[in-house]
Order: sequence, then C-alpha cells, then structure tokens
Amino acid sequence: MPDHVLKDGESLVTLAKQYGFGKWQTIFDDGGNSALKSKRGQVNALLVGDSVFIPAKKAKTLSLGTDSKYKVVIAVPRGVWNLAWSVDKAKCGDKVTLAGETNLPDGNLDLALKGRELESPKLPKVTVTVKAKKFSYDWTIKDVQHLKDGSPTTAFPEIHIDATTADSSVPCNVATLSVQAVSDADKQTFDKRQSWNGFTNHAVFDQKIQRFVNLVDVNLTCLKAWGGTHVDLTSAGITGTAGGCPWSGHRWARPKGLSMVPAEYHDGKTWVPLPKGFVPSATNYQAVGFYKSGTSFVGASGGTWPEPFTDYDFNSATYTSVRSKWTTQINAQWTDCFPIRRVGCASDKSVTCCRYGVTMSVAFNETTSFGADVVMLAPGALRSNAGLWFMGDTSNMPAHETGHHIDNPDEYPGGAVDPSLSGDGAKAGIDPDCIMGQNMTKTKKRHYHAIVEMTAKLVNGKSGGSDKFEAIDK
Amino acid sequence: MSDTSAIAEGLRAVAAVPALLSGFGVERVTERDGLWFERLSISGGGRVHLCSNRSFGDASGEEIGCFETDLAAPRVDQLVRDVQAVLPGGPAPNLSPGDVRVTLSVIAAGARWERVVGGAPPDLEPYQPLLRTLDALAFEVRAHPLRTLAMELKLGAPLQAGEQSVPVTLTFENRGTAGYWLRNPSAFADQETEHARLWYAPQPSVQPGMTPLPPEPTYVELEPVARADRPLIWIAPQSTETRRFTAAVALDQVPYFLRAGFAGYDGADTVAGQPHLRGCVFSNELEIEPRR
Repeated sequence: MPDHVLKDGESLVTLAKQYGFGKWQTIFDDGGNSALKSKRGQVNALLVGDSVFIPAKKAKTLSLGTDSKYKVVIAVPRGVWNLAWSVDKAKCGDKVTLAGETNLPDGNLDLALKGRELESPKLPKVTVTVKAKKFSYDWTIKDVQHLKDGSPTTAFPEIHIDATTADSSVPCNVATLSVQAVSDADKQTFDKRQSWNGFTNHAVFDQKIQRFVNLVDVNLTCLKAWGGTHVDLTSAGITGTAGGCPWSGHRWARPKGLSMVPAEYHDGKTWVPLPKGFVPSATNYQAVGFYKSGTSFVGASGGTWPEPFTDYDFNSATYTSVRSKWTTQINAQWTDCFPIRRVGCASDKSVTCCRYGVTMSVAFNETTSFGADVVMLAPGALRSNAGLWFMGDTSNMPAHETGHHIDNPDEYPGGAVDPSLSGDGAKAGIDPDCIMGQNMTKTKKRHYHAIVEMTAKLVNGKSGGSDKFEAIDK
Repeated sequence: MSDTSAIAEGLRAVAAVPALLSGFGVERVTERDGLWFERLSISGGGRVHLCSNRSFGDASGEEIGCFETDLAAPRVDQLVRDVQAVLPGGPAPNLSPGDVRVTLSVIAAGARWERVVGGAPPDLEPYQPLLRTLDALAFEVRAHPLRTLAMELKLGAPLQAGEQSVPVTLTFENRGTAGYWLRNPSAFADQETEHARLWYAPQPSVQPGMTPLPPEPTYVELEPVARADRPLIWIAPQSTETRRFTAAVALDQVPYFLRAGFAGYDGADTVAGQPHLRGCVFSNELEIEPRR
C-alpha cells in the first residue's frame, strides 16, 4: 500500500478509520513509521505533508463454536481531526476561531498553542467543551512573542502558532496560524511646520523601525559662531546707532573677567566703560550670536560686530567633545522614555508584538552659512537661547531644542506655547517640570506624539492596517 | 472686556480715588532655568521690596537677598502713569527656556493685568517706560538692605604654577537690618544646588582691535578645613561670618581670574519661622599670576 500524505485536517484517527484500523497505534507504531515517529515525536504533532506508512492489514482468524452467541466488539480509534483556524494569517488583536471535530465523548478537551519559531510563554492554556462531536475556541490574538532577546536581538515578523491537543496521546492534526507583526520598516521623514502662539516651528526628523525599535534621527545644523552682547543705554542718554549695532540707543557690549555682565560698550570708535550710574539689568542687555561672513561678523538678529573676534578651532578636541557630550545628553533625554504600543494590544509587557522602543540619535552637522533652523555654537559660558548655544553652558538646552525638532511646543510662559495642551502636569500648555518647560527636566508621554504618529505611519504602511498607537508607561 | 481695558479702567480709578491706591500693586518677576529668581514689588502705599536669589549677571559679585524701602506718594502716582503708558503691551514674545523671562503684573481696583516680556529689543520696546522705572527702583532699593548676602574671597597664600592646595577664606556678609539662616558651606557635599567652589580661568590675551574669546572657567570644590555637622549658620544683621577652606588647583604660568561661588538652594524660605536665605552668590574677582 502506498504511503499516505497527510492533507489538511487529517489526523491518525481519520487515517485509521479510512484504512479500517481499529487502533491508530497500529499505524503509528508500525516499523514503517519509525522515522516519522522519531521526527514528530507525538501523534498530535504530525503536519500536513507528512508521509504516513499504512501497514498491510493482518487477517485475524477466530474459531467459534456453533449454537453459541458471540459479541463482536469493533474498536473505534478516538481522537481529533479537522482542527483548523478560521483564517490562515492574522495579527495581534485579530479575533480568530479554532474549531475541530472529534469522536471523544462530550466534556472538556485541553488544547495546546505553541509558537513554532520562538517560544511564547504567555500564550493561553485552552480548554474547549466538546459537544456533539464538535468544539470551537474564540481567541483575540495576544501574547505572541516576536522578538528574541540577545545582542543583537532577533526579530520574527511571522510566528506560526501550532494548535493541537494538549494530551500527546490523543491524535490530532496540527492547525497552524501565521501571526504577523511589523518588526522593521524603512525610513520615512516627518516634516511639519506649525504655529504656536504666533511662532512657527519646523519639525524635521527621520524615523525607521529596526527589530521593533524606532530609530529616530534628528539632524542639528550648527554653525561656528561667537557670542557678543548688546546693551540698551537709552536710560543713560545714549541715542541713535553706532558701531554696527542696529537698534537705536543700544550698543554692542562685552564683559570682562568671569562675569556675564557687560563692563564696556563700543561707542562706534572704541570700547569704553559703561556710563556711570548705568546698572545692567536682565532687561537691558542680552547675548547675541555672530557668524563670520567674509571679513565681517554678522549678528543673528541683525548688525555687525565692530571688530574681528579671535578665531578658534571649531573642530578642536575641546569643542568636539562638547558636541559629543551634548549628543549623549540629548540621546539619553529622548531614548526609551516610554514604549510605544498599538492601542488595544492586550499582550503582556514582556511580549514584543505591537510594542516598539525608541532610540534617539542626534547628529551635529556643521554648515558654513547662516539660515533658518541653524544653531549657532559659540565659545564661552553665557546664557544659551534657542539659536545660540554657548559651549561652556551646562544647561539642558540642547535636549529642549531637540524637543522642538520632534514637534513639541514650549511649555513655559513667554514661549511658543500650545494652550490646548493639558493633563500630565500641563495646564493650558504650561508645565514647568518637564523637558519643554522652564526647568527642562523630564520627558513626558505627550512629547513622543510625533514619534508615535510616525510609528503608526511606518507600521500601517507595512501592514496595510489602520492601527493607532500610543506611548505608555514602561 | 479685555484685561487691558479692565486694567486701564482700574488705573484711572486708582488715579482718581486715593482710597483705591492702597490696593494698587506692580510686580516684576525675573527668572531663568529654575536657578535665577528676582521679585521686585511696589505697593500703592509706596513700599518697594526686592528679593533676589542670584545675580542675573551671575559671576558679578553682586549681593543677593532682600531689600526694602518706601517711595514718596508722587512717585507712586508716576508709577501708575508708567503702567498706563505701556498698555496694551507688546506682541507675545518667543522666549527660549535659556532666556531670562520677565513677568510684569499689575493689580488696580480689582483688575489684574499680566504680561511676559523679553526677547529682542523690538519685543521689549513697548514696555520700556515701565521697565526703565522698575530698573531705577531696583537700583534704589538695593541701598536699603533688609537681609543680604555678599561674599568675599581671600587666598591664604600666593599661588604658584603647578598643582597645589591653597588656603581659601570666604567671608559672608549681611549688610541688612535682619538676620537669617544660611546653608553651612562647611557641611556641603558638592552638588549642583549646594556647593562652595573656586572658579578660575586663564585670562584671555587681549589684542587691540580684536575681541578675545571669553574665558572658559573650571572649578574645584572648596574643602572645609573643619567639616561641620550643623547644616545652617546664623548670619546676624550687619555682621560677617568667615569660613576657611582649601582648594586643590592646577595652574599654568599665565594670569588667571578667580572667583568663589556659593550655592545653597535646598530647604524652604523659613526654618522654624526664622528666615532662611537661599540662592547663589559669587565673590569678588581676583586677578592673579602664579609664581614659578
């Protein structure tokens, strides 16, 4: 007799019945199936396509006396067959049904679900109720593990979930469901301009998904610069403009020693001490960034410095190290603050299926010309602001400004505030105790909103779905 | 009714009805980065009060603390007019958190008006009549110390090129009429909010016609000669307290700027009902040239 190649839904029970065996063990234990038995191990683990040797039936001769009554009992093999999922492919959150037929008596039957490529320890233990030789189990898919720990991790965008009987002595076909996840997605760019409080913010970053991690690339364009100060001397009777300072009554000024306070101003010809009785205050002097254009030093907000600044090596070990420290600081501020998960995913937090990490990677790219979105980097330890960072300033300003690149408004009075922000510490757009607030401290979930938006775009672009995502607590 | 129309009406009422003047108030809060904070307030009764926890010039040697004086009635009337002159205020500023943020607020006859000002000169311009008056008042009130802290730095030995441990004396001075508790610098563990440090930087070489790069100071922790257990020291009115430290510095054979910095931000504004002065102050600046 030729071998029988198992078809969908067939188990050794159906074969025993088809070929007239009272016991399925007669087939499975036959020496012709020793290789198959060794390969699959158990009778409920045979797969579609497995070749089963059907042994020849042996004649059984009975000698029976006459004038007597005999009861002939024909053994019927028991088990499960036609076990099948309602769909071939699905993903976390989909509702699927596992159904099968059996000749087992009515009652409970335990089934086992197992990830083929990777173990999923959180998969449910399934007990179905057999009634009139049928049973079914409805499952909203969850807890299918798609990521294997390691360094590096290994992602499995497709996991086959094999279902069969839990009792290895009960024959059953294996029903396989392909559970899909998006583990990787190609880079896309987020590019958005929006206005808060009348001020436009241009958010730009690249994002891709690699092994369930969002890799967010922010490029900061920086320009070698110098810091100067302008001082408002109107109250000291100074009028008009001089020395290249463009504002009436203002003059370029510079400190002496370790203080930030201007000590002298340029009167158009030379540096002279501040007028007697003039007291610098928080509102009458301010730092300004200058960049070199030809032989001139041009102010970011207008005017030219009255003389050359001493040159310095922007790419010296000292200043490269500053940018390197900022890079570390920014990346730490924005990396893996919160996982991003599909809304509705009910999987355990130890399971990676719809859950994505975030790795921020910021890069300083030097430019030689001033323009929009250019950050000026200057030596010294004066007070940095949005467009001018002093390389001796240890504040968290770079991480804050990176927050703007990923589409976050300011959250302090006087900034580019979005008054519609509320909750999680924010009231009418103000939250002092966060990275976008005045104290430039912790990252909050709302600050990931653009990364979340991009996660949805990348995942749905790959899966064809329309799932929503959210930042959640770790 | 907008807040500007309301305050304009309130200011007219205050100017017309002397009884309403006692409730009039102007406040300027200047802050940055959670570390710098200054409040200047003027009441309708003429009381001017200034409290500062750190100089906005930072390493300027300026004293911090509280100052208080009284204005004559005509100057309060003028202040009302200065407020009227800046209404309705300027456009909304776009400040970065690194910028100094100045908040002006006014109360008059039950109407309240508040604006955050700052940024570039054009942003400040609409507020200048009031800002200049407030700057002048802040300067004036500093002549009337209530509780103040200034710090003097003295080195106990000449500095030499190379590594060395230098004796350092810090003298804390209260020019005010009231005493206060201060975090004890001899009990600090060096951290951002509580420390005593010696800052130093090589002096930039100045060439005529060329603006030098700013000094880039580094610091060392000041180690108390005798470490104290008690976290607070009492700075009595019009008195000084001196503490001795050592500083381990490494210097080249070039001229240096030096200043000491004291920060004591931790705790509340009072201790068992007594004033507790919190903030950061820098000492006088020394210019030294290490000996060979």
